[in-house]
Amino acid sequence: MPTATYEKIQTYTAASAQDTITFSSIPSTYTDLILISHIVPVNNGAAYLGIRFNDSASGYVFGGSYWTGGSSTTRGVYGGTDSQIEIIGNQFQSFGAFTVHSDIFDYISTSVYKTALTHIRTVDNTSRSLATTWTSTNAISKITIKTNIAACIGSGSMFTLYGILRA
Amino acid sequence: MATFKLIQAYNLTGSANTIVFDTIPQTYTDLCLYVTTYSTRGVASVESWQIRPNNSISGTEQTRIFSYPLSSPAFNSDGGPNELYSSWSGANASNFYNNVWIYIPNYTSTSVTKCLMVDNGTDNNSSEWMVSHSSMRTNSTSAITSLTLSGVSYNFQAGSSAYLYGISNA
Repeated sequence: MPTATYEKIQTYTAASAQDTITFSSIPSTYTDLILISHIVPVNNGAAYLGIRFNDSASGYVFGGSYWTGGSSTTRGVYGGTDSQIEIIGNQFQSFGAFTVHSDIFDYISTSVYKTALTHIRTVDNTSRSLATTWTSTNAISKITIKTNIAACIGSGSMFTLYGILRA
Repeated sequence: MATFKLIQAYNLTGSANTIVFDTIPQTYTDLCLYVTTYSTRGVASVESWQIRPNNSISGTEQTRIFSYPLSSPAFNSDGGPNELYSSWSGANASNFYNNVWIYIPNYTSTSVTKCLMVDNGTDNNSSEWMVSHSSMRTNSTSAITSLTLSGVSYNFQAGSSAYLYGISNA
């Protein structure tokens, strides 16, 4: 039987509305990470939702594509720098349940910048696929999913961090 | 401990209109489905199939971006039909292979609606191809205990396969 290489590190299910989900003390025994988020927003005001590494609020360089559905569809590509991997802009609160899949590569390296692919899929407004470089050579030991408004991540939201095993 | 486990596999040796994964264990965190469909219909049409959580598409929503038309593709996006279309085969569809990745997190929850991420690529090893990325959501908070893949206007042909994996909650 082949060696297992895909392991769950931690699951967090929100028992009540929150503004921050944190995975800390991430083991350095994997090569890559996968973060799966199933999020149920709560409308407590216009809110942003983002991912940060090691609590850093700078150095996220990204490029991506976006699209919307409905009768007035839009789509395109965009890029720039940000203080986080922005999952949703200031409309997060108006969404129904949606899913985010993030691949975080070579997270333990102390010699290269970190890269992540993040796919945000919602039926309510803007879906995105982002390629992000976090311009830090620090190993990632902490991942935070955070809104800028309190109690916007609703009860029942689930976040799971997986590790891809070092052979 | 291994967490990416095969729950059930189908490798069709004949035609079938549906592929059903029933009695899905409620012991995993997420589900991941890999599907290859094969079509030999050979007529000018758009073909599709649905994925039906708990054999229902009632009230489902979808947003997608997709390349179309097949002969000169450009990206389009829309709200999609009130069905969970996951693959298309195109004009004069013959020997079309369609590869689909579907990820369903938090499928055992009984408090939140369920979301599906779907990436799809199809081509006939010739001049026609299509890709799409979809967001889908049910309007039910019931746990997902079955997944039905259902051809809309055609049958899955011999050579089609579907593999359902569970991401372990252990």
